[in-house]
Amino acid sequence: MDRIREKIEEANKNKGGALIIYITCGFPYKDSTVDIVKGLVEGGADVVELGIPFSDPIADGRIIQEASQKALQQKVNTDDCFSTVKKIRENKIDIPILFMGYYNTIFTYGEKRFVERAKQVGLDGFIVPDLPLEESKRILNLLKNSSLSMPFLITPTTTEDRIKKIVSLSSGFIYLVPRLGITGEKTEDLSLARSLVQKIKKYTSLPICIGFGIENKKDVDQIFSFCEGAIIGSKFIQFIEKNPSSENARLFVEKLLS
Amino acid sequence: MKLPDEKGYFGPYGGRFIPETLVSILDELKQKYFNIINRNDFQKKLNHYLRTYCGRPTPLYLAENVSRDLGFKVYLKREDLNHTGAHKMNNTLGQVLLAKFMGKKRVIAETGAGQHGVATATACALLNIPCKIYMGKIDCVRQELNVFRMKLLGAEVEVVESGSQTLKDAINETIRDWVTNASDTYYCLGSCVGPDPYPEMVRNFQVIIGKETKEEILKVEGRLPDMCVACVGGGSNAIGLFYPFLEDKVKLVGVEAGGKGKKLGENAATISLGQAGILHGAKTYILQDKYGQIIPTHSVSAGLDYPGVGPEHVFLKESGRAQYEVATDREALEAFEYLSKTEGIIPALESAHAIAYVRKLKGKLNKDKIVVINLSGRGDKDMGIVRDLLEAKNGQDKRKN
Repeated sequence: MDRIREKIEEANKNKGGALIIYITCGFPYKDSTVDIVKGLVEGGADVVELGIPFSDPIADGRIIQEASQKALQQKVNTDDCFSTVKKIRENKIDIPILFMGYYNTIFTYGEKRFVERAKQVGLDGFIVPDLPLEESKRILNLLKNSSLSMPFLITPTTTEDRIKKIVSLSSGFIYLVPRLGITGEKTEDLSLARSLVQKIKKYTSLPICIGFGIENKKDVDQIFSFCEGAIIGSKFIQFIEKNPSSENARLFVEKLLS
Repeated sequence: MKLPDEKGYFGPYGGRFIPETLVSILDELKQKYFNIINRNDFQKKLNHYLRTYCGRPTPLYLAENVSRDLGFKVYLKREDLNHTGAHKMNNTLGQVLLAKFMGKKRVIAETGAGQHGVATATACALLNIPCKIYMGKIDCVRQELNVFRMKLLGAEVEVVESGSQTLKDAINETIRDWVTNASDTYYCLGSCVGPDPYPEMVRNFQVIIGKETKEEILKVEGRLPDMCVACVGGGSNAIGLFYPFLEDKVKLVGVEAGGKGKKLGENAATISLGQAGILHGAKTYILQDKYGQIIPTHSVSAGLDYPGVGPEHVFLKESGRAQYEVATDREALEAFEYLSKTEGIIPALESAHAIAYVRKLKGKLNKDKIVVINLSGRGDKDMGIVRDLLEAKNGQDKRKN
């Protein structure tokens, strides 16, 4: 059972697209995350991406780097991320949750131990932005016969050959990056993404979600018109920093879906 | 056995752990590199610049006074006599020329102390290609003159204020630029670290150090040395010296920065004190906490102050082919003064670590043994920091008396 995929498909039936929100675990405060996620669910988000803070996040722009830094200063570690998911589940929140973590945090934790712990706490999958498919065999083997999904990224430099391989190994959804570059810089033009979606659709029926530089309702509406989901991270982090309440998180999502 | 394998692995180390955007960029780089490197016109041009611009071949000097003092023969491979004062130029000339041959329009690079930044800016000035150098804010303050030097050479210097504001963060920022501008931009990486094919490429550009050493020692001594010693930060000068001797009966010793002590954060001795992990695109040894967060390092020598190391060195260590030792800040500083006074050669603080190790062999080797030290750079750049440290030390001694 692929809970992430099911949820995205259901959202597409009900409201024309799925909204995925990224938040760094333990940001802005170590105990903020459960409330934030509660608010995101109330507002109508479909999937939550929870960032494991890392000291050297090469795929991220300034906003997510600084959020990571801030969480690390409060000594948020991988075990805390797992217990946060556990707490979210204890609060009867069943929204699909993905980790987004750099490979060193997983490697150092122990891949097997990481996957076991993920199952125990009720995580639904993870994204590893610096683990290309060539290096992912070990971890994919550990995911076999589990309900954990692993979406891979496709970017404008991904060749057609690689697209075929990536879609065959991905689960949950395909994470499409609509331009070159890192997170947090506004994506002005989605036309490249549109043509990439068409290319990818030839090879898979997995939902395609677009992240990196997605900021507002206009972007989300446009993305919903040609693929299955939009992912917002940096913009939400900026928004939630000053007032990390449930209420505020709910308002952010409601505005995007209004 | 020829390493790395086709996936960029030296045994279990190396590989490519990078964002998807860079995969096809690195494929292209690798393919073009192997294509261009074997072309006559490339080789001819590179050799021409290495000889007439950089000053190669560099001398292999029998350090008479040091040899007399230590009781065995010590040769210094004089990489300090290269243009810009260090071995860095071998690599930047090679890579920037490669960038030109690939038709790239712009070069980017990271720098810690500023030596690789200066060497990149120099090669870019020579070959007329714009360049941007990323340097941590703390390093910019520590090495203010190198910032000026790079600007004088026409480079744009971007001050990196993220993370720990040192070399590792400068690398992160350069990678971010690269992910954004990959199609027309060449990343000139400064050491044998990073994703495949960089560790192999940088090694191959530095191998000239070992090749010249081998040729020259056979000429003057009629035999191979017993030992080759080099300092190791990322490890490019060391791998350049070691590589041509890998199949020979020559002991290879890398010397890491022991800093102030063995505690995490007090040193940059990655092979001696780190564990396996992933940093800057490669599986290698790194200095990290138990959750895999990279730890800020310390060394008196900015060029060794890096929490990772080239994957090939880790392989050589684990396979037993090379041995890795540590010299502390204090030992390096003493060796710095020692070589200056004994031979009239002021070494870079980095290279002083290698000298410090060899000094410890006094009385342990008999007099017909031959040791080659890679004198990877000269100490001009370190005058300010060494003066401050010596003045502080002398002040303390005076107070004690």
